[in-house]
Amino acid sequence: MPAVINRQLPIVVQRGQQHLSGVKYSASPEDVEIKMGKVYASTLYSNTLGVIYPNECRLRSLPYDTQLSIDFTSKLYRTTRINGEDIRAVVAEEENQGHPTVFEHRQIPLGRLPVLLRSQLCAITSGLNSIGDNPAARSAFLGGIGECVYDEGAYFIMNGREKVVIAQEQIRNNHVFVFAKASGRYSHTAEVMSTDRNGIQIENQSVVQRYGTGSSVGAIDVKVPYGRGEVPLVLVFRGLSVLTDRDIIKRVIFSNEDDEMARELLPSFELMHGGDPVTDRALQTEDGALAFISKRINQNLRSDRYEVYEREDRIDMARGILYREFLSHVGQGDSSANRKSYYLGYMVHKMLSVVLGRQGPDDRDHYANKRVKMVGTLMTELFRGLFARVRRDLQRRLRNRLKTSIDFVDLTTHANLIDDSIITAGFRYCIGSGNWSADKSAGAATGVTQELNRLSFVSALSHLRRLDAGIKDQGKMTKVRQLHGTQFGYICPAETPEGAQVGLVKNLALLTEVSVGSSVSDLTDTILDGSIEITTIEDMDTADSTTDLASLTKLFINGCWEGVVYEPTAVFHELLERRRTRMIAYDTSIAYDRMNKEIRVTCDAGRVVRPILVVETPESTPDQPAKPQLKLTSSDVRMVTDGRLTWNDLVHAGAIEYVDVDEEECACLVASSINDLQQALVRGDSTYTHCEIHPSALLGVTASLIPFPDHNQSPRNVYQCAMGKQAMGMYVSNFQTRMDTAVHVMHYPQRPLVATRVMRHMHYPDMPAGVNAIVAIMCHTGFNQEDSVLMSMPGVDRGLFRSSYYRTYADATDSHSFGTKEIITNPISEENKAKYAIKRLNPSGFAKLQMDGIVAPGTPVIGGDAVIGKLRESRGRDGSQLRDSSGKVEAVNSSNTLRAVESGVVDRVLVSQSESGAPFIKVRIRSVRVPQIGDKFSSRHGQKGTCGMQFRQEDLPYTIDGVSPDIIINPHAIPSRMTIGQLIECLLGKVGSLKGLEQDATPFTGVTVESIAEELHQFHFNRYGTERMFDGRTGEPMAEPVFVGPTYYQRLKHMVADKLHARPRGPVASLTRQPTEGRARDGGLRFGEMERDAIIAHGSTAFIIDRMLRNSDITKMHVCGRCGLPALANLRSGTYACEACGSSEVVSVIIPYAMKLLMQELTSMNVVPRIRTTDV
Amino acid sequence: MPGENTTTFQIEQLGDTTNGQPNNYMSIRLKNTSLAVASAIRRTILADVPTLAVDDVIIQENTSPIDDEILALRLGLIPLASGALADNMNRLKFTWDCDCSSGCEKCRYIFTVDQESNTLEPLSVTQDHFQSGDAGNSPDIDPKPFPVAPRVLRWREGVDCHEPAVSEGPIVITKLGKKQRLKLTCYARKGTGKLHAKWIPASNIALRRVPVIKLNPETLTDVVRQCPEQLEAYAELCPRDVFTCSIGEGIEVTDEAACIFCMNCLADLPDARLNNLVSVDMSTTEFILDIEGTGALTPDQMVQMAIRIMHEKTNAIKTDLLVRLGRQERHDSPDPDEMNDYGDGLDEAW
Ligand code: SF4
Ligand SMILES: [Zn+2]
Repeated sequence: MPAVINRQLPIVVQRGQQHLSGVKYSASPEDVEIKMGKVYASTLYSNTLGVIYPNECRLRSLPYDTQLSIDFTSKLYRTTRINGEDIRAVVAEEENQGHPTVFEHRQIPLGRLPVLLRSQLCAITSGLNSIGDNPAARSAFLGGIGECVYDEGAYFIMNGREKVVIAQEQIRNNHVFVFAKASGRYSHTAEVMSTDRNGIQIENQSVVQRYGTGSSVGAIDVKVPYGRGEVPLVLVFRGLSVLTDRDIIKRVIFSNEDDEMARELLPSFELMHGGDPVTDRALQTEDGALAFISKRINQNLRSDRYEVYEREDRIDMARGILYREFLSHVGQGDSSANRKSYYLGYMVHKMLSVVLGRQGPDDRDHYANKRVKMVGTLMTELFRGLFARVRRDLQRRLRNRLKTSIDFVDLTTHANLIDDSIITAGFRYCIGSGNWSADKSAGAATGVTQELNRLSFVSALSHLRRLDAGIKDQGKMTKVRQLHGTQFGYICPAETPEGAQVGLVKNLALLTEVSVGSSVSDLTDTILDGSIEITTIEDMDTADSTTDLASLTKLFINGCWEGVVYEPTAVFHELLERRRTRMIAYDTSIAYDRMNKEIRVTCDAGRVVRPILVVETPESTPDQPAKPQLKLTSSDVRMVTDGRLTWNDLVHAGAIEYVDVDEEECACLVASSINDLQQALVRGDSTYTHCEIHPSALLGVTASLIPFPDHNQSPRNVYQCAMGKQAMGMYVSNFQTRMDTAVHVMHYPQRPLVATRVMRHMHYPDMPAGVNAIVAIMCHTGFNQEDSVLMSMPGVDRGLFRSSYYRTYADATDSHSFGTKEIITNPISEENKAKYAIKRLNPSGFAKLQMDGIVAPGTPVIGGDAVIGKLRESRGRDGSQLRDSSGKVEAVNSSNTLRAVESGVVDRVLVSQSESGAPFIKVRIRSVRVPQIGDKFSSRHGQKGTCGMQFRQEDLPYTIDGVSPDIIINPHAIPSRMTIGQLIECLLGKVGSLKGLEQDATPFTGVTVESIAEELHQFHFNRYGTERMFDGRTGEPMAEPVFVGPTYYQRLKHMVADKLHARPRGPVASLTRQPTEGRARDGGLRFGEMERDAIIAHGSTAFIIDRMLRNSDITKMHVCGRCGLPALANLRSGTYACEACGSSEVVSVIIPYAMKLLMQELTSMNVVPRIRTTDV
Repeated sequence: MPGENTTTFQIEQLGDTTNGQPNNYMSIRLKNTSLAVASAIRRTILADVPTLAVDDVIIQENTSPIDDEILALRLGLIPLASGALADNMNRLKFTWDCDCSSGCEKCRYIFTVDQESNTLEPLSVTQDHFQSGDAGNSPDIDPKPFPVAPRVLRWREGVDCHEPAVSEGPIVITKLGKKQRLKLTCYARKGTGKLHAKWIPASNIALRRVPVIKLNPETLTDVVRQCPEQLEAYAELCPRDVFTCSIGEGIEVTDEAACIFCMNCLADLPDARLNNLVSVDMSTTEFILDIEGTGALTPDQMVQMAIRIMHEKTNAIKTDLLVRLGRQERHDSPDPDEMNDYGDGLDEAW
């Protein structure tokens, strides 16, 4: 990712090398040209205090960004007409009153660029680089600057909040998709979304469509970019200078024998001979075709109506669209026309092949057809947009300035033409809000950034590897949500949320990378260097026209058809060899699609790639016949273990290679494990080309925490993936130096006794989130029914699952609202009492504030207590202080108080300055959460449960050795859910605890229950983990042996203490006068529709009145007894009158306040509601 | 017959008393008694035998990385030597029984800890840093904590195992980095396991019935005759090696007490002819009580105290019954809190 930013910036800026001209009107016009040059990103984070490290930004709620600056050159030109030719030359200084006419601006501030943590621009990276490889020194450095030792970065810090940019999935560009349409005029379409070779130009779409209904069934149309309608296929070919029918047919139908396809093409030609012969003949010329196309170009593109245009101009315009915009990825110049015609022919061919049933339509959900936009790409896009705004703004300013500069043009002051707030504010807005668009337009993608989930360490890791399909549609859309076969190995099959987002939000598998993209021109040069036998399109065209394209294999580079090859297998192997020898970038995909006779070489960004081991057949030697074997040798493995070889060395050596979905599907046969490969090799019938590094790598971050996931029913693994992110533990190693809004930290987390091999790569043993609890599976008393669990009270007493909850309250004196001034102070101090008349002051909550207006660390606080005292002076319109009658200054209490339902102890107080230098305070409150009845726990197998009861030691059942379980779960949780993994985990955990060694529960390793049982037997325990248990209450042995053993349990963040809520009376909402909603507002418990229905069904109307009127929004109002409209009633004087009808017959009615509201609303729309009353 | 119905104890195994440490493990066999009595002893030890433990912590200064609450819990869990209570449980009173209003030397014991680190090496603050101070503590109790060696079980020789790591040192409360300081006052009080696990004197008590394993001689003869080759495998079925198989002789029960009632020798046997070869039963009159202490009290102290408490409780019922029957005057205040006034002269129970 840092590489992306570093590389992308100059590219973007190159696009900025354009002429911007402000025009000064004169006979010989002068113009000022500003040419953008180099862009610099500062790696110095110094402010006056020294280097700013990320944690300071977190603590002080600052953005973590760096200064961008730019070089540019301003030149003053004059265009003079000499001999009828315009000559544009730099003006001499003398003619500009001696002021320079060429001026180089150096490092002018361009804006601030948010820095991705651990990217090359990040201060931590440079710090670590200077330290070297010593791990102890590295963690000492990280600890010293307040960073988590295990944190991997890859997120932004925006105003103190950690923001992840979620990778966005989208459909692949520059690739022809053929779809069969179920409805509409067309039966088939072939679409291609083109971007230019560097993938940075705006996308445009070209579509080929075949009529399925109507008079012209089978005829083919083309939609060109900026088109207003369709153009017949033949005319597009002619517009591209392919005039004869024979040439057109040659491009579409690859073989002369292919009569079937020729027939399919016939309607398109017939279309050309329908009308008037003169027109028909006119359309046979290139110009005629272009003139036709020009009528089908979007009006908006032209400044005037086309009638005004000369025919010549229209033809030029159409030609421009065809040459530049149509199929723009194939090429954009005049020379590209022929290639485009071949590409168009290919599109039609592919579509007709589908029509003829020779191949199936394309699958949108096939993962080879997906690209993933990562931070780098998204940031580049955003930067491009923002930079365009800067340039527009610059152009406007320059124009304005040139208007006023009459005598001379001052180029030296151009530095302040650049508004550096555009980029700064743009980035801050987008990263802060997640609305990814440079100009805040409405259609922008939302939710692109999210606040990094810091619940547990793995939840943060998993968040950083998340993918979003970007489909916000709430429709069913079941197809896209399904796990596609091609996602195997790239995307975790278990980790996806439940509910609305299921299958749309995905997570990368462990070894998956997303290709960064490499230069396509380098790639093309490497491939077309002449040493590989490739006939390019140009050669093909000039060669004998009878060349049978159908028998040749087409070579595509990034979706662009480059040529054909006669020896595809040899070419394919040569290309593979070049990638393995690093002539081609390692993440380039080389897919040989034998079925469709295509070799697709792709190097664009956003492909998911994964490493697999290469199986190779070495050159046969006289004494050794060629036999396929793993390229990775056992001596390589030894050297890796010794640290003499690294991963990259193996990739360099070609022992490991990265493939993407397309390549893997077309050209690889991957053995699913080394064993499979070896067996095949021994049998001698191996056709494998590759081998998986380890089958368990197909899982993602959270799924890798599950022991024996291969023994569980798959939805259970999905549930665990969701719950693993809610488990509390150590979420960062630096939690004591951080001030997070709300986090949990478990006091005594343990590393799991039964672990998977990949866990340590995710630092799970260092940052665990759970406890190896002794779990018994038994029905004991009734307190563990329906997924509740029994817990051991002595265990809880001793600290089992105990955790702390930290919440931070932040406040700063705010000066943005006009006319007010804020001060951090204790509002009820004597001094303030004397000086201020304070509104909204509830004196009870300030007792714990110190003189400075902040609570002191160690102070116990409860809901409603002020933790940061603040006064806001009221100011008049002129900004002066307002005083009340006694001369005191008017002020409003705007202190920050503890949430009503929370309590704790002040843990830490931070007093600092905000970005603008105003006082900035953060107060962290801590409260210890002892597990209690109602708290939620879960094993690692999607088996969640709440604590139903805690038993004291003497009442707990115990085994013959006196061991009493920490947790007792109900056996009914097992059969229907089929979480066999949990049982095996428990069994293996028992062996592990007896051995004193961590046990391996990696999936697909072939551990058998029988082998674990044998070990357990060796340790004098029952083979299958059961033990005789004794009831602690009586001492009686229980009838059946009980399955017990250590099982890793997680404490989930949902705790009753945060949920428990009841209200006998309380606040009402001001609009409806009904009780407020929600626990945080001390709200009532909703008596909803279904409850209402139930009571109606019981016929208990009095109860309904009680719930819905008396205990809700009961109101008394007066209405006229005659006309039924609201009447005036002065209860004090006893006068009653109806203003509407003049009657004095006024009735008081008892109604819900909501009804009064409804009546008023109806009145406002000229509907008269009347309350008719009768005597009761 | 005299003695027939009297519970007898037999000490099977006693923990090490080397290194000057008190033994903290005992296994006793109760004979001639009922499950009710045996279970009551276990339950009383766990719930009612009083010990001392740190109950209140006043933290003057804590710049250690550990939060106050966690420190307080850690302090509470350190076993304090409560032997002084063994001979007279009222040497220290429960806070709620004491006449004082806010703690006195009769109902609490004060420790202070004041440590500061001045080195880069982390300083471990341990139970050894407890200072009894001059805080008006009762001189006849000295609950200073001492390290207790945990009981190490070696499960099986010759299996790939980790050697159990036995922590020899004192219990660590926290570690202090440079310039960090811990200054606090602990109030140790008497309490029972009913209130909080920190007052439970036993870290492990297992009460089990004595196994009675009998070979069925007829089946054995049949098996020896018909399928003697099965016997070795049969003996192997037992995880605790209760049986020994000698070639030709058949099989015999050699370690009856080791049985864990897993019933492997009864169910799902490989050969139907082995059915009914043995019978596994549990004695209804003989029990084994394994007690492992935390260090607060020794196992024998626990048992003695438990019996005294039980005696006192039954006595209270007896007294109450007599009073209600009108056979006895209630001489003391009928305050049920006084139940814990175990009194002297009950030693005959032991
Ligand atoms: S019940 Fe189990 S432990 Fe006891 S003798 Fe039979 S097999 Fe051995
Ligand atoms: Zn007292």
